[in-house]
Amino acid sequence: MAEDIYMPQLGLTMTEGKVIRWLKASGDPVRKGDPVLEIETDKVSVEVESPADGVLGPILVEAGASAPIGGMLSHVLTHTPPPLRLFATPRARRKAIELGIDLARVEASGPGGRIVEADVRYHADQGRLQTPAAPHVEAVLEAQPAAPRVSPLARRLADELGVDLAAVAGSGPGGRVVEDDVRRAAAASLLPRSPAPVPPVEPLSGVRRVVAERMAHSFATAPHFYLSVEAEATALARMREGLLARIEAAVGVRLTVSDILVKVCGQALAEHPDVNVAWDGSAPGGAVIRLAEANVGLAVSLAAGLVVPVIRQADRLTLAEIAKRRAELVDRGREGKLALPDLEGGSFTLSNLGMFGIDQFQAILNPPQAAILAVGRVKDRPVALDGVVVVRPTMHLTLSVDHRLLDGVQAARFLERVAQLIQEPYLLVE
Amino acid sequence: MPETIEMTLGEAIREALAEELSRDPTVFIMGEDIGRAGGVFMVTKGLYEEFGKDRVMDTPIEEAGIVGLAVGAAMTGMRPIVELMFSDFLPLAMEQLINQAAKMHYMTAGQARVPMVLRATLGTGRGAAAQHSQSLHALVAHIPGLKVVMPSTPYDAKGLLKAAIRDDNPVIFLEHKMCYNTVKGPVPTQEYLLPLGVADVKREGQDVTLVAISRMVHLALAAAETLARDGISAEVVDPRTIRPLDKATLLKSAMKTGRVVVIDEGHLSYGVTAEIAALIADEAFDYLDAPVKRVAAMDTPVPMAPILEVATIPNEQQIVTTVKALFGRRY
Amino acid sequence: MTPDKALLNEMYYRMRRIRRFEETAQELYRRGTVVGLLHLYLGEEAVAAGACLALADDDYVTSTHRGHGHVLAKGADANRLLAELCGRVTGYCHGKGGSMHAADLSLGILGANGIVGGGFGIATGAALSAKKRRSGQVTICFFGDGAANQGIFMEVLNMAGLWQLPVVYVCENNGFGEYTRTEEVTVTSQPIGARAAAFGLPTAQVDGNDVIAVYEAVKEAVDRARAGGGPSFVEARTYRLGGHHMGDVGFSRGYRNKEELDARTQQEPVGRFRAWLLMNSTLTETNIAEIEAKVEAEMQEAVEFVNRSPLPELSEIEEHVYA
Repeated sequence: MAEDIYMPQLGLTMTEGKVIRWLKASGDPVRKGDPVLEIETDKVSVEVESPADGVLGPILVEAGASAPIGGMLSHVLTHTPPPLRLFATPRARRKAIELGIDLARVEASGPGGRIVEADVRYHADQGRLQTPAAPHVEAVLEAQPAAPRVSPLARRLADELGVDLAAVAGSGPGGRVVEDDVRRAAAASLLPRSPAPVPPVEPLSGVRRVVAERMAHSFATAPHFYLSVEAEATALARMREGLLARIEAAVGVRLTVSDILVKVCGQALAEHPDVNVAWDGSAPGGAVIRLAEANVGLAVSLAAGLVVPVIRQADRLTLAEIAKRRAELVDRGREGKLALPDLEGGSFTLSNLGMFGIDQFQAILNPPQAAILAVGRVKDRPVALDGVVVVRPTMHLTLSVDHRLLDGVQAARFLERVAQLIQEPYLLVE
Repeated sequence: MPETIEMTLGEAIREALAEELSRDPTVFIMGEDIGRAGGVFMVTKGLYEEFGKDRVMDTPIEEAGIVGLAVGAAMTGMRPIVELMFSDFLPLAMEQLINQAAKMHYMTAGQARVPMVLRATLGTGRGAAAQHSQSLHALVAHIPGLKVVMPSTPYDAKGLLKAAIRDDNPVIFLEHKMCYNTVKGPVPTQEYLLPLGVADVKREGQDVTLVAISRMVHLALAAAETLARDGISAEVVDPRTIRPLDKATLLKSAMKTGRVVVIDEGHLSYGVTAEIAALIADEAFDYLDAPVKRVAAMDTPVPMAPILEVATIPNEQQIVTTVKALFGRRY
Repeated sequence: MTPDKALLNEMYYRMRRIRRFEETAQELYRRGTVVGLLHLYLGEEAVAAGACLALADDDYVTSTHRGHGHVLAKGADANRLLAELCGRVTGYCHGKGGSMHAADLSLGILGANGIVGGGFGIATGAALSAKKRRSGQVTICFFGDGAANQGIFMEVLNMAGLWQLPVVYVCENNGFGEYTRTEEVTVTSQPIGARAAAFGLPTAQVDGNDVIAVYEAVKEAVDRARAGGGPSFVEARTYRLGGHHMGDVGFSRGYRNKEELDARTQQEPVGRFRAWLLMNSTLTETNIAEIEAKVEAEMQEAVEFVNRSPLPELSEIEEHVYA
């Protein structure tokens, strides 16, 4: 049994309406009265409610499209057993049970649109980056026989299409390069191959998809404001020079500017507990979570997308420790081996695009954090000193702040301290 | 003395016959043209001269009669090996095989034994047309009380034939006529037997199981090579005995790979591939990642013209295509 | 030449035994104790008795679906045979063969057979085997006029004649092939033996209701075979007093008629031989009474044996599929 959802008549002169957005997705359970989609005419916009308890059927009119009055938009399937038949192979079902995965959430790639075992494993591996996996699941996933970094089919396809596998990021289980990745790389390739008349459309998947969703959400929900300061980097550079050899000898890693900035931010966070907070959107009206540790996340760009591994208790680590930890995390990120503990618990994020020649930029908050620091490159710039223009190495620091959590003064004080620690790094040992 | 000697399928069979004729005076061979002429496929060449006409008997063209005689001789202390030239002639002897040979032990509650072997050739490739090119093993595999053996290599053929001759049940031993001179392989110089009812994994693999019968084993191995180049690791399992089937080996492979293709030169419908597919779908169901596929001969009589004949039976490309269709995007 | 007293004694005993066994089986069938199909040998006793008396214990016989006579005459145990008819585990075949597949390999009884002509190949093969083993064994292949029309009859005649196998083909022409009279389905312008003669076999035709005639004809053939003289054919003309099987349509379908049956019953072989014995031999009423009492006791014992015999367990089903 199904109950129709159709374009309602909103006004006497209305002949058609436009779907603004769907609030529920096909397959979602709905209760009678739940808002299911938003529609508008030129005069008014309204939510359309579900006519019954059940499961939402296929979306017949997408967001942005129009339909005449009475036109079918979707329907609600009202019988109790799941109306959508899941085609999955027995082997896939066993694997799903073993891993505690809901088959309805698994994307099928098998012949005939079936969910096959590889789809379940792929789904499980994706999930590891997002949500905590139960220990037994982790154990099962760990116990899988090591898959090659490149699937044999992908390798053959790469040969055929002339794709350099070293440059292809893997979206398969454990970062494995699969057929899809090679096809995408080939399509995006700048090598002059047979001209494609129509640019290929690639649906987002994997890490990139997650990032896209989070960014959109953050930008849309958190009211951002930005503070900017130009800090002189002379002392910072000298300090780094001085420590480079010793730290490399001690931990085998070259100290970077970002490493020092991580320490700086950590310290500043520890000193400004009002900035070391997070947003709790689940509480009605929102709530503030006061964080106990100064955990600084460092934005790292991988081929697959942006990840933010976290250096915990950055205020308490030495520079050598920070450098070592950073190197470990970045390596793991490159190998697609970042685990959940590496990514969770961050209080604050540092994003440095200086190595790409960027002078200044505004970052988008990494929810549910209160602030994110965007750092530009160190460059010799003219500064006024004692009434004279001199040339000094400076860097632009831009702090994006969630106005729900902080106001201008709190943020300013924090940024001021950050700038101070950069310009006078000996203050770090105070 | 070398450990193994390279020989053809036909030679391996002849060796088995000669060894058993030497070893056991109750063993004798009977069939059309097998004695003085050495057999239409030359498999029994030389045996008449070596063992004499009492042990290697040329018979009249009376398939029902000679198989019937074999049953009677087997029930009364002899071990006859009947050669039927073409398995297409099995229908002429079906009464004797199905109602007499297969059932004597059972109907007499074990008093009678029928230790006979019926050898026949099967398969296309000679342009021999519809009545001389069939693979009718399904007809006899259906009958409880009969055993059906189909070797693919010289090593298997010799060991299995010796075992079949020593078996106390009626065994139907089917040889592919096109393999007699073209399939070669090493055969131990020391005596050996191979047990009936035991399969052989001819090639190990991880991603898909190819169950292949008789000459199709060689096709499957070639397909496995091709698939390997495309990154698909195929396991080739040769049942060797069709009845009784080595279920354990078949199921173990199916459970490992999750994908199975059964390849046979019998007709697709109502054949041996259906039995193997049903067995796997039933008992390895939860381990399957794809439906069990069958690649077999078309459901038509075999046409004479070679260009038509070859199109009616499985080929390597068909196997490769069938296998690849079993995999999803994420392989 | 008249057989000696001991042989005559044995002849009557065997015939009487077959007759009483069949009548007992018939009665038990009506009561539901005998199960399955039942093809009675009533009226043909002289053939089985006469022929089998020409054989040694280790000689072979193959029989037909109407096989109790041959089987008993070759020396089978009445208890085990009756138990087999009644589907008991104590039967020759543990109840799995039934009337049509009764066999006793230790007595060379290679089985009754449910396929008309099913014994031809087996008998000829047994003869081939005996010749190869130089054992001196001879095989009698019992079959009916109906089976003589099966193609394989010709096939085995060719091979038996070609290889001079020690087999005697004994054709019991009892006037009927199942539900049809012989003359309606078999060419009778030539005797059936002509088929065997065409392959060089010596043939004989005897009154199948005359046990001595049967014995003498078959003995000659058996001795010939044993001496290496090859195969022979004997046609024994007799009459099937019963229907094709218990439950036969009999008179309602018009293939049998009462007058004929009555006339034939008058001439039935057991009574006929009994009368002849009293007239022409040294056997007395007492001898005969003794034989008959012995047979009665055997039948009694067989019935009691059946009554105390258990049915087979279900596990019997999967036994003996393979050796």
